[in-house]
Amino acid sequence: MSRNEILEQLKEILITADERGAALLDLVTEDARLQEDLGLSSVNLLYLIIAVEETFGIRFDDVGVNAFPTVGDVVTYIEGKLS
Amino acid sequence: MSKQPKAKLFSLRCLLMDFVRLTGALPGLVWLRPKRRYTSAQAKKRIRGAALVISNHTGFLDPVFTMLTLWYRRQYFVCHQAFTETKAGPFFRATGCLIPIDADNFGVGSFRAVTDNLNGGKVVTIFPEGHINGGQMLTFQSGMVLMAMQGHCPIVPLFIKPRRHWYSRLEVIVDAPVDVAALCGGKPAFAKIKEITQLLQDREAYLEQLAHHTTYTEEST
Repeated sequence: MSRNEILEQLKEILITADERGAALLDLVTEDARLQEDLGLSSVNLLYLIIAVEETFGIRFDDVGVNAFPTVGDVVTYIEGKLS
Repeated sequence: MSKQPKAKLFSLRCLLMDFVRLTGALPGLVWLRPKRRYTSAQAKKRIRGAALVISNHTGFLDPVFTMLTLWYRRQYFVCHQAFTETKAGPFFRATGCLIPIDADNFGVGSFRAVTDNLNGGKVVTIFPEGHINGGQMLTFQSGMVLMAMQGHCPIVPLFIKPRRHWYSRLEVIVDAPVDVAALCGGKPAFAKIKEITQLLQDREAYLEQLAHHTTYTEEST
């Protein structure tokens, strides 16, 4: 799966991971910071992790939610796990 | 709701936990033992299998009160990691019934520890306010709903009514279990989870109201 495909799927997850829904899409870029720019809380991030695990069929290591400052970091992590 | 597997009853870990619980509970049985009140007949039913117990947080003894209210051998408590790093930390860790979480950087491992215990048929207690409240209930965090969803178990709301005097007996109101899986239905969006969190907060507010009235459909001491 390419990086772009992962990002697209991640965008779909992000829509459900926040109450703002599709309005969040305009803000999502690889450089966007999850907490500061997108305004996601730790519970939002936990939801994101659960949804990513179910969607991509991967299992996250014991990491804190702050381990992923940007959207790009999540994509890189998923990419690493899939390869 | 899926059936939960039963954990071992006579393992060394369980016996050690019983020892700590009994020695810790003896003064409680004499003085701390709370007066239990139930909102309905369903609330009075003994919990079978796993459950996530939520309660308002009025003081440091709340885990003891919930333990005395719901007398289960396999009961765990979610607490701040900082709490286990105090001087009394080794003692609390030795009880083997704490699941520490880092509130500033919530870890996937801590979340799994909770859901694994729930999936193992155990009772886990969490204080969704996150901190001890100063008499006014704080906003609940949504993490508990995610835990119950992943742990495939219901949420049991409790309300601890603070003592009016140091000598007065404490009261705990127990509500009927809330089936989170039925409310969520499949893979819910985060907005739905927030909705369920609000519902549970409303239940807790209802229990607070009940705590100031004396009549209940079912009552037990």
